[in-house]
Amino acid sequence: MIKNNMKVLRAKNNVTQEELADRVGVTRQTILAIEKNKYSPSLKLAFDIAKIFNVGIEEVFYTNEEK
Amino acid sequence: MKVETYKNIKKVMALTLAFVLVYAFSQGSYLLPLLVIGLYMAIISLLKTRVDGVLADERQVSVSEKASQVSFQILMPMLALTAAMLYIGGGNGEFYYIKALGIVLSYIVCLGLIIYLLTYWYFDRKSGGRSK
Repeated sequence: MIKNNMKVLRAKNNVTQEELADRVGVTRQTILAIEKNKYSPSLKLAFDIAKIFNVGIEEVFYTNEEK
Repeated sequence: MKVETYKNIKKVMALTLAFVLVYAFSQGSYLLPLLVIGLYMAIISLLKTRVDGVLADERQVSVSEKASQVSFQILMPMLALTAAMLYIGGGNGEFYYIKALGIVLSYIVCLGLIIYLLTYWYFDRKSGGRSK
């Protein structure tokens, strides 16, 4: 399962789930599901999310082996 | 148009469609349902283009795909089993129609499998499968 730092990055950038969802074109439920590691996003969505936070994709998403 | 507004309009339209269909069939009319269903689909397609927001994102599509797959995996063996039971259990005498029903059900199962294979082949090719 792919894990992520989205919650931390959202807090740092002062972005709500709703705002992030609107900016990447998904529903708030999807952002919530990704943050809770219940849904692995597509590559495109992962890149879009990383772009919003202005960081590389590997800084947002990682696998269990990486940490 | 907001997503919520679209969903509410769709609910009202679906209810209206159901009432019209029941009325039309009770009156023995078969042209009216065709017209109403066509009109319903046209209006829904038009409304979809005017929605500001996300109607179904990739997670919802993924959930829908999984639900369809599980439904298919449950329904097809059940239908096949029922068809076999009806075919074997049905005789040629008074209850000949039971055997006929079994045959019809088995054709439906075959049709379902053919549609599955065709759509699988199409999406496999579309996703780069079997490409040289």
